[in-house]
Amino acid sequence: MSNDKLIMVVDDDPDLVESVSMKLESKDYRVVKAYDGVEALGKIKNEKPNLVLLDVMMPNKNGYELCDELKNDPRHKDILVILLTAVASAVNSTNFTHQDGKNTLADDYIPKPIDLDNLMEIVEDYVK
Amino acid sequence: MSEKIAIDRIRLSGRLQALRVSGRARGALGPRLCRLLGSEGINIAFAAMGAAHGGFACLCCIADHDLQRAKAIIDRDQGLKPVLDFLPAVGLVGLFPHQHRFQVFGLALKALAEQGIKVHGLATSISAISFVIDFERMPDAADALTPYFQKI
Repeated sequence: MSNDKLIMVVDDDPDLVESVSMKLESKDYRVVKAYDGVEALGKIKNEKPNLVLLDVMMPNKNGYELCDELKNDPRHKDILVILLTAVASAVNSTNFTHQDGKNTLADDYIPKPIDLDNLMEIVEDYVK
Repeated sequence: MSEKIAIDRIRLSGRLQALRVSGRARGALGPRLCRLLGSEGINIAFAAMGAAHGGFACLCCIADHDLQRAKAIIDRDQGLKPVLDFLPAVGLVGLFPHQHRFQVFGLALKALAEQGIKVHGLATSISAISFVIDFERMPDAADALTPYFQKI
């Protein structure tokens, strides 16, 4: 049965985007992909995803910058944002004002390397 | 010309250095090289292993700034040093997603060959195809591929 939830996957690693997308699609989520922050912002404006899985370290606007833009924009602030970060220990908390890139307005974060089953549990908790 | 194939990106890397090890010892030299580089914290941007010239070969690409450190540690490894070459500067040309279509792979090789661009190594992953070419030919590679591929 098709799911009406749209998930965006943003990472400059195309293999990560593909593997996460395949997992989401296997659970009948609709998926839109982007490979940098600028592309992601453009697609978010057109596609209006329910949730964005967002890599932090990317060229052309990193994940912290994009998250800030979304959460400070009344049109997009309700989009759920989950950071995908290889530096999970550097993320002190979420849902606080951005300071030095360690506190973000993101709703959650998932450490890399990603456990796909754990990712699915988190996504399902947020979008149900 | 036939219709262009839709892909999301043609990605060109920065300048890299390539280390190539080859020999008849099946499967031993590539992992040894990778372990050595890893032990020094040298990131391997690309690695491919396969059969070549009646034996086996491994090609690893590392960042430009890691070259001297790599040379120093390989100098100390008497097993690797005699069978390892350092190629002139290289770059990675990546196309994705390949959509599991051989046509993407074939056209990319054709495009590079038409411009006389030598491919030192290649690899595929679940989404991307990557080619290792001479860094000085990177602009030519982009020009060569553009007629065959368009952004989705």
